[in-house]
Amino acid sequence: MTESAKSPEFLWTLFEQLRRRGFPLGIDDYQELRISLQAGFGWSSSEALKDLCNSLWAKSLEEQEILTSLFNQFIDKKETWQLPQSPVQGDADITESSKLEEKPELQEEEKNEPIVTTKIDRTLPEISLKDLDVQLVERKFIFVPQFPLTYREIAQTWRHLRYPVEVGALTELDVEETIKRRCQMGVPIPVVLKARRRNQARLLVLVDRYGSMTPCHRFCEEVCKAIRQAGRLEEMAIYYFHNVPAEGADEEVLEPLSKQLFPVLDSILPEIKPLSTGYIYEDPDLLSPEVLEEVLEKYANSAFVVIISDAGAISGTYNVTRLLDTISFFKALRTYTSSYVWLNPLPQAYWNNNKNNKNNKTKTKNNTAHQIARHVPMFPLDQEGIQQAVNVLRGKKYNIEKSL
Amino acid sequence: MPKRPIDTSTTFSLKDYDKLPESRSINYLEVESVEEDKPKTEKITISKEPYLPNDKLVEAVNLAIALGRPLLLQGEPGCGKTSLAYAVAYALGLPLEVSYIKSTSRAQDLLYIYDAINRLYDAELKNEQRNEQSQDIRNYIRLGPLGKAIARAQYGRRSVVLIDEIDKADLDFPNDLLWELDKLEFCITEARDIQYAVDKETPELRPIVFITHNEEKALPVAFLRRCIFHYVKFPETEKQLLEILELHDRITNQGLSQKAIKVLLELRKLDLSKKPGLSELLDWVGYLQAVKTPIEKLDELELPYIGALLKQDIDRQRAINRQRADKGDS
Repeated sequence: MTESAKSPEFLWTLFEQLRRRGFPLGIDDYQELRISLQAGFGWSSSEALKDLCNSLWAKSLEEQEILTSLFNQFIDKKETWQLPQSPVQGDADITESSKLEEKPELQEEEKNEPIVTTKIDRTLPEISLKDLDVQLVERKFIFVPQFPLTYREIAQTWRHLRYPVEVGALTELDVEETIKRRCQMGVPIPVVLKARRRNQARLLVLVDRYGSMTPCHRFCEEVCKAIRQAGRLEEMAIYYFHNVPAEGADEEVLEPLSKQLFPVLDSILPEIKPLSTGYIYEDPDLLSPEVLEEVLEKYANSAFVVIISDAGAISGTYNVTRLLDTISFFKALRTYTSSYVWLNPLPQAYWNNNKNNKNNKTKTKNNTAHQIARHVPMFPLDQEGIQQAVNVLRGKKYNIEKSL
Repeated sequence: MPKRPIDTSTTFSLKDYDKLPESRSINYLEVESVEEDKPKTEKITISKEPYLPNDKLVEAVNLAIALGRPLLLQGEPGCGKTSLAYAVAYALGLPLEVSYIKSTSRAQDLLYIYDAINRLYDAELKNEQRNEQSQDIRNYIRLGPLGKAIARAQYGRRSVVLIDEIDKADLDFPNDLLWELDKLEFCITEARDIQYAVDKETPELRPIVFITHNEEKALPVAFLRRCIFHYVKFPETEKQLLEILELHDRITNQGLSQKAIKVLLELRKLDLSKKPGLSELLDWVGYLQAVKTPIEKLDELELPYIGALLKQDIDRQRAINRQRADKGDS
């Protein structure tokens, strides 16, 4: 059956190119295309062939765009391909017609109904694209962003962030509770019902913008997009800030440390007051300010909170005001929720001098990010990092050096 | 993914769709309960869904039928994803089983529902008849939409299944359906001897499954791989829109339709938080016509009954500003 059909050769190239671009395609998917071609689909024009590839291999509008431009790039306009004279006279048709005869009553009933089915005449003429007057736009390059995290990695991890709550009508049988009550009462009492569970996880994401974060903008957008689309969240809010979410903490508390060049705030930690005054922004361009306190009130109350920022790790300097403001902000945040994490787009070496990167000890010891990471669970924005972050949000124990 | 026989015996075509009568009577095999004797067949009447798909969509439907895979339809709300299932079922004269997904839906509901609670109550009752009834689990099982379609195929009948707005359900939902959609078979977990399957030798009886998806949430890759994907685009030209409006018989005022389409296409060019779709257009024109709105009204600063098209205040404001700007130019 396969030998007689000469299928277009560039399809294999297309398939390989799609795989290189991260399409989740396996050999089955290629086989599926061959089967469809044998069944007579996709032969009428190059457009139809492209649509067939799109239906089978591309599962979103973006993927279809990539496939279409690759298709146009690889299609060999000189190659002719042709369909065997009687393509699907295989077993399917024969068995099926004999089957129908075995069930005469069924067929008769169907005869009475005007069914709008038309058999496609599949003895098509030879097709050559050079004969067709098609203007294909050639695109030399197809850019697919390659971030440290792929969309799928982010999606898979954030799906684990759940907070199932029983909502709605009581429809499910609560077996445990029913048995417990019957044992207690000793007589058959009515069964206990419960509602179905639904994921009610709420997430607030605060993203640092501009300044040292500028190179990471696209990456952060991709992360937020993936979380929004793939995470099964009841509600997700994204707000933006520059450097610190809240500014203007009372610097008087720093007085006792004034003689130190790189003051460590551990000793004055209890004196630092919560700070939630100021504005954060609704849009990534930082143009529409919102009162921070109102946002926290609305979205942070017993929700999950994620901060995406380099925490000043790029400059590698020590800024005591920034540190103080950040700690004050977290003190305020803690009055709303205890589930929060910090995701740092920079590699861990820039802000954490753990055992693995001793060489960086001097570099990271006195930078703001390192100090913040001592008080707040901070993880790098990579696969392992987001997994740890989600686990911490879900309630896994995490030891931070000096708790707030 | 398992290999499955290809079946091109049924193809869907809309060439003669407009010539079909407004309603037709089809044989409906009653398979909701799991009785042992052969289910009854009744005549039911289904009515025609006004529909105007393009060739590409028809090709995608036929591909899905031939390969026996679900057709996943994506596209902006109100562009006719759901209606397609109705139109295909009508054109092929097949019963349609619909499942509207809710956030609490579970995959098993699509196959069957086992009413254990009522069975328990019946067993505890002193009523002899009910008591006896409770002995047999079959009395408490009701098949769901996909379950009915598979059961019906076992009895030699085909069905169309619509799983509407799958992204509303929890993530487990599509994942839990992988096996059933692949194999087209299931058994009742509580009564293992009750099993249903579409015979592999009869690919022409495989249920034709449509799944709609509103892009609210991404679906898992494993599920996507098993579907044929088609993106339903909003009709781009005025001509197509007019044809669609004409299909709906309650809309007869041509001049009004034309003007309304112009307004809609203009509105869709604006940066709106929710662009008005086809269903909004149909609602709007239907009402404008019903209350006999003069066509000139559509030129006014504030569009009449704009609430049917734009559902958010900010969008309405944008539309008014735009109208005002137009007026200023002319």
